Amino acid sequence: MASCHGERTAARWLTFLSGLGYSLDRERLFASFADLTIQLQKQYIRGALFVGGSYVTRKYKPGDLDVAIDLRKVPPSAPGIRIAFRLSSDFRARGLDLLPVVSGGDDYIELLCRLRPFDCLLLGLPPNYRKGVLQVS
Amino acid sequence: MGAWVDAARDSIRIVLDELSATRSLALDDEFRALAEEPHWSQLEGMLVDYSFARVLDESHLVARLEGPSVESGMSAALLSTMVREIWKHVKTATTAAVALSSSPEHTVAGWAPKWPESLGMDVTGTGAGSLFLGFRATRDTQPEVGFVDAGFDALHTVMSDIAEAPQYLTESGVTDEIAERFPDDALRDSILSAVYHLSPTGRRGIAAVTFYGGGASTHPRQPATPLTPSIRKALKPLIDQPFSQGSVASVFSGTIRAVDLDARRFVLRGVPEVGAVRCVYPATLDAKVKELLTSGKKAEVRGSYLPTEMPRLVQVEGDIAVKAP
Repeated sequence: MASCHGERTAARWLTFLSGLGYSLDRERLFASFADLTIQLQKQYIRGALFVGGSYVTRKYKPGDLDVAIDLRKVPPSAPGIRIAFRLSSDFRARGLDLLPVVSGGDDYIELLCRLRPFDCLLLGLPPNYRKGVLQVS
Repeated sequence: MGAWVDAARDSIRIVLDELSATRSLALDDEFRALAEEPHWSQLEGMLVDYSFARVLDESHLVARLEGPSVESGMSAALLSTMVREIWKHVKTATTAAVALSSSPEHTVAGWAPKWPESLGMDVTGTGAGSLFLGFRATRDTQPEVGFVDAGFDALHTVMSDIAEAPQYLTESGVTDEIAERFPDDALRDSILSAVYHLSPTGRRGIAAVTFYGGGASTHPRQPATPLTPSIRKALKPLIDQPFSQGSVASVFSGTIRAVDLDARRFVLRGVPEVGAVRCVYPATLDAKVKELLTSGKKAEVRGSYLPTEMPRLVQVEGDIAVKAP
């Protein structure tokens, strides 16, 4: 399990994330994620990215890479919001579950920390177990 | 509801809150659909998780089946066989547990437990991801004298024990710690016998069966140990001959009850100064044991047992004699 604390540079975390691409499936997911960050930069969409799901566990073949982007400070009418939704749709086929967070509290981070009951049971973990989430600022 | 369902509900609540917040934005139809899609996608997965969480919370025993027969879609006939097998061995171990009980109403010689119709086990549901089967001990609310009360408690305990016992098994046999968790030689033998028979042979396309305690007991501290053909093979010598050295010989007389024909075990009840003992007998005595069970006549058993404070598990040696009334 990986965890993230404190302020670190995006580049450093990206290097860390690329280090988790140790299988073909992981490498493919990381390539999608790297493309996503490029697209977001090109479109001047700035918001903290949180990476969760099975990619940040020991699972050798994670099914997808869950990412939430915090856009709560972006005005709802700004074009960046619509572009983020569009990117979310486009990247789904590449294994990225991108969730643009446009309102509400911090519960979506909590959601990224949770494991499915099936995984908890197999790993011998309690239902309320929380795993780490990587923040790429 | 239990902790699994609570966690699943909480996840669903978070997504519904996020969905509601997204809907409150003044987006045109095209972007509204795009904005809602990730939430609907999450919800679909969570509803499957919710149904699985219910199985975990409502069960006393959960079995996970893995193997080629499950991966390719399990046949109804095999599924039915597996459910019957699990029930059969849970029931056998429960009958033995009650027969070995020291409760005064169960120590009367001649007491013959007939499995009451009001006591049973329900399938609580199935879950995706290999195949999960949940089971729950059930009983009618109508009070019934005798076996039901003790039987229900024993049934519940046996289901938990079957889930717990595999953690003491390895491919080279049982660990020493099992004697601390199951100190009664007879009950430990009864649970190990059930676990042995529930371990897959590999012939039906089932490669592994993993048991979980269900409800609060499915909050483990370590991954559960799967029962495999290798575990079955490792248990075989222990089932055939529970102990071989350090035993002492004696003669026990009592009434034969709770016969387990698969494991070749019976419970001898009403043994003077001892109460009840579980006996392991050889195949040559199959007919004799059945005859004595049917007739209800008192039997005299010569056998050996581990030199513990009170004999509980006896390995029958030689013939079983009919004791004169």
